[in-house]
Amino acid sequence: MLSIKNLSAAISDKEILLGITLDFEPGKTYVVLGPNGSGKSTLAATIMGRPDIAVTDASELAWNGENLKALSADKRARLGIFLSFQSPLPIPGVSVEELLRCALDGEKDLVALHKELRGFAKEIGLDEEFLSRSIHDGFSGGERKKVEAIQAAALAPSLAIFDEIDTGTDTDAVKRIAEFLSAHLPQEATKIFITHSPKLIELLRPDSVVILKEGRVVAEGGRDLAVKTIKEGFEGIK
Amino acid sequence: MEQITADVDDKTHFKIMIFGLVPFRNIKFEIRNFFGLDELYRLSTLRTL
Repeated sequence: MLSIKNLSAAISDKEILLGITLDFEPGKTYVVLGPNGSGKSTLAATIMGRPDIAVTDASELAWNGENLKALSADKRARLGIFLSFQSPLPIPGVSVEELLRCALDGEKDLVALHKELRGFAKEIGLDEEFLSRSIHDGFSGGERKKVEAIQAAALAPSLAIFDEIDTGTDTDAVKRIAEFLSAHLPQEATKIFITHSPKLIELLRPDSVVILKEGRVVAEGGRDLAVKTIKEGFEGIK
Repeated sequence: MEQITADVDDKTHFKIMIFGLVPFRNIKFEIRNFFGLDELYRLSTLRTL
């Protein structure tokens, strides 16, 4: 379980998260909503351990009882934590398959991984050529997000965070990505989706919805909260 | 021997760490081993601690 208590965080001395307390349980799907600048992406990056985010001493961040604050991002990844960026970065000279081969060295048979990735590409509707091209280099928005989904499926994380996996994708691609992730992320994994997309929320059928505003949790609830918020906006939520 | 220094930016460094890898920073390569920017970047990114 991911346990967050009184989490406050800043980037370049600007306070962005202000005393967030949340629990995320295994096997459940969460949606995080909030207006632009509410701290959603910072929350995701803080959980993953982005080095330039300063977390206060009073903040508590634990994954299955282990203090994440003491661990760098690579060590958090080794515990099974994964983050998909809102704007995935191109990495010239490094292919998707090459990166995953390095990441899964000793954990997965390389031939099996090669076959698995091609199966994933076919299923999500991506030409397998993208697996051997430099990551995200010249990819469209939809292609980038499909590659992010494939990376997540291959890594099989126990905590998967997707920061606007729907951004830059058309309706059909959103559906395909949502169905792909539902099929391939481990059942027991905790899944957190940051999104503004009613379509994605409808497809994900989240167990719980969290609303952030100005760095604070202002509401928690079920799917109905997401529907109401998207319909009425964030202004009425204090 | 002339050298060139390869580095990854902070965002890419963080992205690679999400895969459980730690890229070296500021690796010095000798020019005789230089096969192009992409190759240099690949070597820099995937060499891990």
